[in-house]
Amino acid sequence: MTQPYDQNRLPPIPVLNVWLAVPDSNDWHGPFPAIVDSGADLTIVPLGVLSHLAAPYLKRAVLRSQWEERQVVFLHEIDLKIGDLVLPGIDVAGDDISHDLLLGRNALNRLDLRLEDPKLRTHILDG
Amino acid sequence: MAGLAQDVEYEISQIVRSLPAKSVVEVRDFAQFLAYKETTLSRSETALTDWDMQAAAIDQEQRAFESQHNELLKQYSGRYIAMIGGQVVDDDLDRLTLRRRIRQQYDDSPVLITSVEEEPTQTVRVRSPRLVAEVS
Repeated sequence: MTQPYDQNRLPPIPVLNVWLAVPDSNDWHGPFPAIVDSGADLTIVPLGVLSHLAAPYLKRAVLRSQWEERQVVFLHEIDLKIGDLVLPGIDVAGDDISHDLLLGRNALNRLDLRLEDPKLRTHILDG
Repeated sequence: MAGLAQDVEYEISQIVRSLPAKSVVEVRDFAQFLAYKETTLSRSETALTDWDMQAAAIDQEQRAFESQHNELLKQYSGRYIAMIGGQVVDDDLDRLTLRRRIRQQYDDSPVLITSVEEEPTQTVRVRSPRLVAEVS
């Protein structure tokens, strides 16, 4: 599977279309363009999307930025699909401020991913 | 109303000054949780949904978890636990196995599911600042 970078952002940013579902429901919603963000420990999803899905709550957590800014968030569990790949039981943090979906390392570390920056496209080698 | 808010703000600041550092963090977390609930309410512009209300239930369970953390750490260190009503109802080494078992048993009821680690609250790092405007 190959997907071009989002060139509406400067500099262009790698994105992958993802589908989300309540765990084990197979009721997929999407596609949502998700920013490939290896700096994020966890995948972050806009709260409106999680609310629409009624994604089950897991627990409360604290998000910390590079400069130690803190934000209390709730973690939810979802199934996540990229192409034909299904990643079950992914923890995601709900974001009530931004509309960006960030694909963090808890999802990225399960993918064989190649960023082909000169051609501004992302490859999932097993997808 | 503004006067009342100022009075309360002053009282809270006095109380906070008398608290140990750990408790000050709890006060801040609770205030952030209240702000989160307000945001959710204004977003929906209607009564809170069942899903929104689950946040309050999970928050309550989390407080119970944090208050029992030392004891739970001795018993469940490194394991995943499920908590309802301040009681551990199930545990497992595998998070997906536990979550599936809990969903089958409790359906959509709010259940706190967490790993038991040294720190009671998980910290998630996001190290990805973004350029929003050039600064001259």
